[in-house]
Amino acid sequence: MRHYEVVAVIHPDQQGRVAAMIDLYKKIVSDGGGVLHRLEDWGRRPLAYPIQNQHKAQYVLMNIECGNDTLDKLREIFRFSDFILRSLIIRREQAVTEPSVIMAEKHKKQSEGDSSESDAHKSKKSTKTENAAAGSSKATDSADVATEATTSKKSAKDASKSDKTATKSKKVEEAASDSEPAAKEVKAEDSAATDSAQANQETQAEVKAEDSATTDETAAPASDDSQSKETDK
Amino acid sequence: MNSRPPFRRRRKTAQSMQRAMFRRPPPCPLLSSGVTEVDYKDVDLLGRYLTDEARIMPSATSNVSARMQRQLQRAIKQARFLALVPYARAHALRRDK
Repeated sequence: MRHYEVVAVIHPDQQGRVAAMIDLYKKIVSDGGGVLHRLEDWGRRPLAYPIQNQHKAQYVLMNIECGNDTLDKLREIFRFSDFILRSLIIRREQAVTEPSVIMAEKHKKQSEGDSSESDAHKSKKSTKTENAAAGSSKATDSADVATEATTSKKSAKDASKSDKTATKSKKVEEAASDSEPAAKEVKAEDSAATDSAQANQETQAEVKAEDSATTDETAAPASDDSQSKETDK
Repeated sequence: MNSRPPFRRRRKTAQSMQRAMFRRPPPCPLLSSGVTEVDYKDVDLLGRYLTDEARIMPSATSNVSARMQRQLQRAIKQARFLALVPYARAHALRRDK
């Protein structure tokens, strides 16, 4: 008596007969004095590549403890039945009873799907965000609270966004207003040479405008100083 | 004043030279993440160790230890047989169509 792990990939057209097939395998195992430790029906899964022009197939996993005769029987069935696309039999050291990775994922998805459905009944507008929220909370009862939270977050986000846009537009306006008078000042100064200290600010603006090509902030004040010295003279 | 000990060049012994030459291999990502047995049913994990062409990633690239690479190899081949994981990229592309 050894432990085996058996996976059968069943033709999708035979989906209605899967239950009967599983019963048959169970019977074979029990008749041979074996024990069925784990039975999983993964349902219809997409195949990584087409087998017999089928893109989806039914997967069944069994962990059994049986002798060689019963295993041979199973093998024979798998080999000569037309609707078993693939079958894998692996020896295991121990009986495995925990749900497999694929089954665990499936249960997870199912629970998420249920929660999303209930959400859909409540409100159909923003189901996506609700799904995400439900997935994180993993509880249908707290879905309402979660949705509320998301909506509040959304509104907050919107508000912040609008604020940002407003500030942006303001900045743009300011920049435009700054640049225009500066240019005017520059023009005025070009026309009339200034010695007065009152025009210091204007000279600063002029310098900035001149240095705008280089955009060196450090250069601007230095040149300012030199100019102010000149004006002092 | 702080009296510094005189600088002494470390002697190059055979052992020290060896130590300098030897680089410790990077840790196995599977073992360090707590995976001790690779399961052919864990499609997500296997997919991480397949290249874009759906080939088995060489352990030199993935830093998987020799022991885990052997398990990976077997698991990927079993999963391929059951069509859980593609043999080649063309398979995956065809399925998307």
